[in-house]
Amino acid sequence: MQGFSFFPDQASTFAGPIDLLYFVLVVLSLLFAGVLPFVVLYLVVRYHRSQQVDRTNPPASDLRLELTWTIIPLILAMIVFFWGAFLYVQMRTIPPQAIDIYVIGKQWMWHTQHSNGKRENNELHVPIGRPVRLIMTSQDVIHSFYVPAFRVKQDVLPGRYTTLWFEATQAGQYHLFCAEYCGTEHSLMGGTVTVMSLSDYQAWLSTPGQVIMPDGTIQAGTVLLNTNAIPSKPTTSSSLSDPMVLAGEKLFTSLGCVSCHVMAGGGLGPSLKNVFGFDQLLADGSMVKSDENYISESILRSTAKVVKGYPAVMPPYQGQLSNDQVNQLLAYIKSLSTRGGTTPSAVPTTATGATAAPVAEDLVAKGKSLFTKIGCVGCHMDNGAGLGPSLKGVYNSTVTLDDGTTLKADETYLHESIITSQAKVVKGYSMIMPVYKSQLKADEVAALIEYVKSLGSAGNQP
Amino acid sequence: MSTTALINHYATNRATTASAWLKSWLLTVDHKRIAILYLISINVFFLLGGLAASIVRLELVTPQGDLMSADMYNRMFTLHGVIMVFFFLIPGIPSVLGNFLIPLMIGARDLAFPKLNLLSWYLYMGGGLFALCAAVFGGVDTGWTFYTPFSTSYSNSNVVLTIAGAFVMGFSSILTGLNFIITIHKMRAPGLTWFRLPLFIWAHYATSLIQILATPVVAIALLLVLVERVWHIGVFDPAIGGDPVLYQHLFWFYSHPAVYIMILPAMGVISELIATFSRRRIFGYEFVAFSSIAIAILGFLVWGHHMYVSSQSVYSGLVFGFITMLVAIPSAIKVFNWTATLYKGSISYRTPMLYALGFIGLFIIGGLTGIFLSVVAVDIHVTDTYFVVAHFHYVMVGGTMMAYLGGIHYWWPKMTGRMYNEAWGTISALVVFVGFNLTFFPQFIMGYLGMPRRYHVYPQEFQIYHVMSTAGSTILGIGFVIPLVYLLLSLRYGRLAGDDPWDAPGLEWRTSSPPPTFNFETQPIVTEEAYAFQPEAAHL
Amino acid sequence: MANAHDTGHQGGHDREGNYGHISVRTYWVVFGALMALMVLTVAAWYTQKHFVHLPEIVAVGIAVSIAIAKTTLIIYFFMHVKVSSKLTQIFAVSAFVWLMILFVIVMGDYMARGWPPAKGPLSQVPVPISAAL
Repeated sequence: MQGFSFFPDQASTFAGPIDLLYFVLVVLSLLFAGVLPFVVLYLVVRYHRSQQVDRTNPPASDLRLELTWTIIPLILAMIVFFWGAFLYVQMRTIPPQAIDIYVIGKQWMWHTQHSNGKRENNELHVPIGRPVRLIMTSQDVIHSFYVPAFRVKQDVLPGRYTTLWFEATQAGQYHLFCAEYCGTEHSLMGGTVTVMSLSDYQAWLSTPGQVIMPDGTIQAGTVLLNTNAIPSKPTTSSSLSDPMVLAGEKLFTSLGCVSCHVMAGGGLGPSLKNVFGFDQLLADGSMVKSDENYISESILRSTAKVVKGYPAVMPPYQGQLSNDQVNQLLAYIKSLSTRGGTTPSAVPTTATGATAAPVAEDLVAKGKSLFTKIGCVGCHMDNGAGLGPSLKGVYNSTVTLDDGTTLKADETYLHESIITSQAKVVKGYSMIMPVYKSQLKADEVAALIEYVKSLGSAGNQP
Repeated sequence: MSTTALINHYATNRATTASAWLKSWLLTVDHKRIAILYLISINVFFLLGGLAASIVRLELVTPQGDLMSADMYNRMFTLHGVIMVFFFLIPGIPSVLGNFLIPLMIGARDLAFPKLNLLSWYLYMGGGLFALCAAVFGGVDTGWTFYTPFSTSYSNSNVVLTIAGAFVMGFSSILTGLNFIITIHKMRAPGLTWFRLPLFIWAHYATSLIQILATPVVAIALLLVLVERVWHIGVFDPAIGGDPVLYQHLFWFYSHPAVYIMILPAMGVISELIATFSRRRIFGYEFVAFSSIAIAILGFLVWGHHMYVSSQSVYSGLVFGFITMLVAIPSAIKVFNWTATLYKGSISYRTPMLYALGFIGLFIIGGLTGIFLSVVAVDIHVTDTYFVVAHFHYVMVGGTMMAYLGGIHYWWPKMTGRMYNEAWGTISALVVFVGFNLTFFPQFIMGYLGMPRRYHVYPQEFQIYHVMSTAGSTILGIGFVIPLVYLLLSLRYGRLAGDDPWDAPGLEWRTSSPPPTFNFETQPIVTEEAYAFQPEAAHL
Repeated sequence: MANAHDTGHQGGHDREGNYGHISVRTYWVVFGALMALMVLTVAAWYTQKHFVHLPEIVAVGIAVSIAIAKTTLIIYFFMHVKVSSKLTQIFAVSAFVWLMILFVIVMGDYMARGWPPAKGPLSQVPVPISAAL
C-alpha cells in the first residue's frame, strides 16, 4: 500500500529513543497478546464439553502461580517505567545552550517569534543540531503544540508559560498540529515546522518572510497578528522587527517602567538586574522563584506578589499589553540577568536586588552596563553560542569578513561595527545586528569600545 | 411456583386498566422492574450515541470536511462522548444487571432501599432529558471533558444544559452505589459469608465504593464550570488569578475512577460467564476478589496520567506514572486467573461464552496499550491522538460492551423467561468481534503516526486508516443491531427457559424465570462455596 | 412464605435501631460550638487583614483547620456517627481520607513546579529556574 507506514519521520534527538522504547513495548505486548489468546484457544478446544479428557481434581488456586504472574508483570512494568522516566526527565530538562523561541497559540493559529525579532505564522523554522526551547503561552483557551516528527507535545495555557525543547536532526518539513481541542477550527490550527541547516537558518532569520492574507493576496515582509472567526480587518506587522530584547527595552522605556525600575537601584521599584532566575523575598515573608510566570504576573497583575521592602504601587497591565509585548519585556528582563539562559557571564556580577548602591562607574564598567542595558549581551554571548560572535579576545584579533577579506579588529573597526553594523559583518554570522548610529551618544560608544577591549585581546577566530 | 404457573398468575392478575399498568411500572419499587426500565432507557441512549458515532465516522472517510461544518462535527463527537460515558457506560452493567441480580445472588428480597432505587432511575431519566434537550437545542461542542477555559468562557453552545444533565445523572450513580453497598453488607442470606459471594457481587461492591467516593468530585467540578460560566467567579480564569488546570485535576479525579466503574462490573460478569461455561470454580477466587478492591483503591491515585502534557510538574508525572503501572497488575491477575479457570473445565461455546472469550482477547490489547500510555515519555507523543481513542475503545467497547452483551444473553432467560436464538447469537458475537477490530486497530497505527483526535479535517496521509475504521464501524453497527432484533423476537417466540437453563450454581438460578416479586419462595440458606459445580455433571 | 421477611438479614443486626441516644442538650451545645467557630473564622480573617501579617499558607491553614473542626462536629453529632456502628464510622472517615488524596497530590503538583533543576555537561552557569517548567 502506498505510503503505509508505522512510524513518523524521526527528526529530533528524541525520536530514536522513544521509538525504541515503543518498539520494545510492542514486542512485549505481542508476547502477552499473542501467547495468551493462543493459550485460551488451546484450552477451549481441548477442554470442550465434547472432549473426553481428564477433568479430575481441577486446581482451585495455586499461590506460586499467582505470585509468578503477579511479580513478573510487575518487574516488566517497572523496567519500562524507569526507562520511560529517564527519557521523560531528559525531555523536560532543558539544556542551557538552547535557542529561545517564543510561541503564542490563539484560536486558531500559532504565532512564533525568534529572538532577533523574526516572526512567523503557523510555521516554525529551526536549525539542525542546536537545542531549541519554545517558550509558549496562549491568548485564549488551552491549545497544545505537537510535532509528531519530533515526538514532542506540550499544552499551552492562558496566563502561564510552558516550555518545550527539542533538537532537530533531519532537514525537511514536518507537521505541526494543535493537539488540545480548542473550538471550531481546532483541526485547521496546524502548520509546518521547517528544519534547515544552521547557516540556512541564520540566513533565513535575517530575511523578512511573506504571508498569504485571508483574501488570498501575498504580502511580503509581514505576518498576521490576528485571525478572527470572522476576519474583518487582518492586522499585520513586520515579520522582521527588532530583536526581542531590544523591542522589550524600547517598551520598557516607552511604557515608563524605567522611571521606577532604576537599574542602578534606589528607585521606587526594584532594579531588575539579576532578578530573573533568582529567588525573590515577598512582602508576606514567602520566597518565590522568579521565572517567566512570576515576571509576567508581576507585569499583568502587579499587586499580587510584591517584593519585600517595596510599596504595592505598580499599576497592573492586564489587558493593556498583548502577549507579544509581554514576551518582549520578558526577553529584555531575562537579558538583564546572569540566569537569563543566554547570558553566561565570565565577569562577576554586580550586587542583586534593591540594595545595590550606585557606584562611580569608570568607562569600562559603564560600557559593561550599557552592553547589558541595550541588549548587546543577548546576541554576543561569551561562549560563542549566540546569534552574534563572542567578543572575548576580539580586540586586535584578525577577523574574516563574509566576503573573504581579513582585517584587524582595532578600535576603528569596533566603532564601525556598532555605528554601521551592517557594513563589515564577520563570516559565519548573519547581517542582523541593528544599527546604533542614532541611538548612542559618542561617549556611550566609547564606553562600549573600552568594555570590549577589556574582554581581552588574545585573538580568536569565530 | 413453576414458570408456567407464574405466567398464568400474571395472565390472570394483569393490571386491568392502562393507567394501572403504567403505574405498576413507573411507580414500581421492585428491583427487577427497575432493572428492566434501565435496560430499555440505557439501550435507547446507546442507540443515540451510536448514531452520533456513525455520523462522526462517516465524516472522517474523507480528509476534507465535506459532510458537515466543523461546528456540527464538534457537536457530534461531544454528543457521542457525553451519551456513551454518562448515560450508557457508567450506569450500564450496575443499573441493569446489578439491580436485577444482586438481591437474587445474595438471597435477599430486594435491595436495601427500594424507593431510592426508583429515585435513581428517575434521576437518570432527568439527567438524560437535560442532555437530550441540549442536543435538540443545538448541541454542545466542548468535548465530553468540558475543559476550561473553553467551556467556561469561549464556547457558544449549551454547556449549562449538558452539565446539568451530567450533574443529575451523577446522583443516580451515587444512590445506586449506596444502595448496593448497604445491601451487600446487610442483606446476605444466612450462611453467605463474604468469601462465598459470587465474584459478580465483589465486583459490584468495589464499583459502588468508587461511585460514592468519586462522583461528588465531578459534581462539584461541573458545578464550578456552571457557576463560572454564568457568574464569572473566576476560579478557572487566569486573568483574575484562576487556574484552568485545576479543573483538569478535579475532573480527572473522578473520571479516572469512573473508567473503573465501567470495567469492574464487566469483569464481574466475565467471572460468572467463564465459571458457568467451563463448569468450574474461578481459579484463584480470593485473588480475583481482592484484585477488584485493589483496582478500586489504586484507581483513585492515578488520575494525573491524563495530564502528563498539561503543564503538570515532572514530579507529579513520575508519581502518577509509577502508580499507574501498579494499577495495571490486578487487571492482569484477573486475566490470568480466568485463563487458568479454563484448564480442566468443561467448556461450551454458547453465545455468552463467545462474548466472554472476546472480552479476554480485546481487554488484553486494551490493557496493554494502557501500559504504553502510562510510560510518560511515550505518552508525550501519543496523548491526544487516535492512539488514546483506540485504547479506550478497546477497553470500553471491546471490554465493557462485550461483557454487557454477554451478560444480557446469559441472564436473558432469567429476566424474561425465554431463550434467545442461539445461532443468531453466535453470528452477532462474531460480527461484533470482527467489526470492532477493523474499526479500532488501525487507529493505533494512525495515532502513533501523529493523527490528533477530535479533528474534523486531517492530512491526506491518514485517509487509509480512517477508511478502514469507518468500514469496520459499519460492520460493528450491524453486529449491535442484530441482537436487538432477535432478543425482542424471543419475547414472543423464544423457547420457555425454565428455572435453570444453563445448569449453573448461584442463588439466582434457584428460583423461577422470571422470579416472583419477592424473589424466593422461602429464605435460601447457603451451605457451600460459590461455583459449587458437580463434577462431570455437564450435559451438552 | 411467612418467614421470608423475618429471616431475611445476615449479620449486622448488632445495634439495628438501638444506637444510643444524643440528647437535645448536646445538640444545642454543638450548635453553640459551631457558632463560636464561625465567629472565630471571621475574627481570624479580620486579624490577618488588619493587625498581624501572616504568610498565606499559615492563614489558609488556620481557616481550613476551623472548617475541619466544624465538619467533624456536624458529622459526629448531627449525623449520628458517634453512635453508629464501627462500619459506618469507617466509611465516614474514609471519605475524608479520600478527600485528602485529592488535596495532597494536587498541592504536591503545584509545589513541585520548578523541579527538576536542569543540569548538563555544557552547563557553566546555574540554569534558569524556568527551564524546569
